Amino acid sequence: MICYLFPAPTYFFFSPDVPAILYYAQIPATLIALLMGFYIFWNGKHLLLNRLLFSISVLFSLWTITTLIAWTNIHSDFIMFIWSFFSLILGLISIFCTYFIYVFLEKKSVSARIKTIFLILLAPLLFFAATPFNLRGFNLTNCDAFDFESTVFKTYGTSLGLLAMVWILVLLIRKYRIANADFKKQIVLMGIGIELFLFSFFGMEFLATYLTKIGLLPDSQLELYGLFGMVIFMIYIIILIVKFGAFNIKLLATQALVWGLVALIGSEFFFAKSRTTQALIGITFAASLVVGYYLIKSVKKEIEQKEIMLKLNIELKQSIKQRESLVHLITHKVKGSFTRTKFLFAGMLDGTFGEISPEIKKRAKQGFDFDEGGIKTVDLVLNVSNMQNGLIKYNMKNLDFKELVEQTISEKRIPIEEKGLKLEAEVKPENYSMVGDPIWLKEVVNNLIENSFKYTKEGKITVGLEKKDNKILFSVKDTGVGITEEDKQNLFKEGGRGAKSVEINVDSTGYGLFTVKLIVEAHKGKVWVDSEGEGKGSQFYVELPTTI
Amino acid sequence: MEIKKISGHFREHFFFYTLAPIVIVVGVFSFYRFMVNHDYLVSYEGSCGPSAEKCFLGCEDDACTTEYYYTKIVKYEPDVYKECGPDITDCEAANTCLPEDKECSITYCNPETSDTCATTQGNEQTKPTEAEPLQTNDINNSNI
Repeated sequence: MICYLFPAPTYFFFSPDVPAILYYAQIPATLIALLMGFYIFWNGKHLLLNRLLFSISVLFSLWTITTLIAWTNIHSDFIMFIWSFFSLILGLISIFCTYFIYVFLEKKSVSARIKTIFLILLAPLLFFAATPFNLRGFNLTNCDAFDFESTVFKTYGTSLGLLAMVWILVLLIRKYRIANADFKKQIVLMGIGIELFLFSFFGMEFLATYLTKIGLLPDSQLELYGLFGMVIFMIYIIILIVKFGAFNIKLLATQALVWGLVALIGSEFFFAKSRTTQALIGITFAASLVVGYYLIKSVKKEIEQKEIMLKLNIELKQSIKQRESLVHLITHKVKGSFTRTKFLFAGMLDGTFGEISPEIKKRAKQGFDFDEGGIKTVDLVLNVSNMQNGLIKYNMKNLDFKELVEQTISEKRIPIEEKGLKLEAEVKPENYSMVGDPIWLKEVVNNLIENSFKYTKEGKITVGLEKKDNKILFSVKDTGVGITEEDKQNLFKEGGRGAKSVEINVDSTGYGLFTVKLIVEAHKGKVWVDSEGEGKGSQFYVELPTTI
Repeated sequence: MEIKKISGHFREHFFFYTLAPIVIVVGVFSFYRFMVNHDYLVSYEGSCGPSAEKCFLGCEDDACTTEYYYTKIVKYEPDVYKECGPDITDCEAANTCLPEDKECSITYCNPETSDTCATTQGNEQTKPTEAEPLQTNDINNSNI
């Protein structure tokens, strides 16, 4: 039979005689629930939790689609057929929500006893759904079956929703008490989401049916407002996925936002009245799809690269740690050997092992010097390693930088002049007091002068000290081999040295200037080099603040 | 071994394996009852002559500018379909209970139950204080 007072729907769902809120409530809620349900299912088909959420979203969509048909269709047979499932779907949603929360909290399926309770609770709805105990007839004038619904049956279906709300609340509270801080947050989010969904969905459904039955409302459109509860639930699910990686899914906030917007724009299409509006919504929908797709793609790529870099960084750190421990082991062993042979040579030189010939004494002196050089190199490498690991503790105190410079100059003057070089000092009369570690700063001054000494065959070395912009500017200028632009890039890096440095200084380790850089930076200063090129000498600068 | 494996799998998933077939059976039963057998009642508003009958008073529109009179009829769907086809509009047989109808009842207006009834003049609505007996033509003594 057909409802003789109502027009037939077009395209099965579209009727001019239904409230506008019908499409606005049904379509976005259904689309979002289905999209999320499929997405979660697709990303973890084997996980029970994902399957249960998918089942809830499908049951919810089944509910919205069947109610939409009941609102718009005018064929009594068909409406009666789908109406007979209303209470059953409500019951299934309640039970699946409870089942879902069990699995969410316990990370495993429920016991056979609980499953049996679920089935027992559903049994009345299953056995009486297709019988006159549920539905006896149809009102052709109003095009509904409210007058012929069994109140007991209907109340039972709805009360399962109430039972689910209480049951879930108890489960959540019990688990919350013993959960860790991170899981507590997840429990709160999930609890708010599912309880809001059940409350709005079942609460509105019950109110709408009850008020319609007693004649206070002309129809049950109030229940449509309850469907927004699903949207809220899905928002909470998205937050859980984005923040906590729930459901074993890596969902980006961008993805969730883009697809949520696309779903909303798409749903607008169904209740746009004019052709122009439909066309505009269609264009916006297509544009948002394309833009959204590329936006997600680019964000995904960026995140993937970030993850790769993070992974590489972890691997690199591990590898550096391994290398450092190896360096420490080797350097200690090498230093130990050098020290032992140094004492042997020292013993030979001071006559501990008796009188030796001058020739052997000369060789012993050479051996002693080689060992001392070796120990210095090992110390340099060890220092660098310790500085990089933060193992060096700087003893910061007030000092006069000028004193350090002058002391080092006086120490270096003799060997420099023995080599035939001139050493000049250009110290401007200023106050050079500052805060720093005198031992390590002296190492800086010593290292730079030593460096110029090694790479200068003839000419002079000029040590400069002045103050510029309330900062100490220390410089060492030489007439040595100079530095190419290419070498400048690597000079202050670990193991970095000029291409020709080994030709001039076979003992070059590439750690001297790197040590200078680490010490200066630890004093919040900076170091750099100027050179006009190969063979044109070079000038090293160190800038240090007077206070740190 | 294989039987043990299957029974273990069933025990693990017995909730779904029990529920799914029952839901399908319920679906088949419901389809058969409503779509094939049309085993349900239909109620609708039948025509009514206010000069001779106690009619309900209805409005054609929200502002109630046009009124009409009706009785409440409940019949077994297959009977109505047999008599009128899918649409009861302009079907005289739908307004009366026939002897061969399996179930049929016609409810007239009863002011005692606060129904809005038409007077015998038929053009004004009243809620008389005097009790009017319910007039039901119930062939099978079933009053919905």
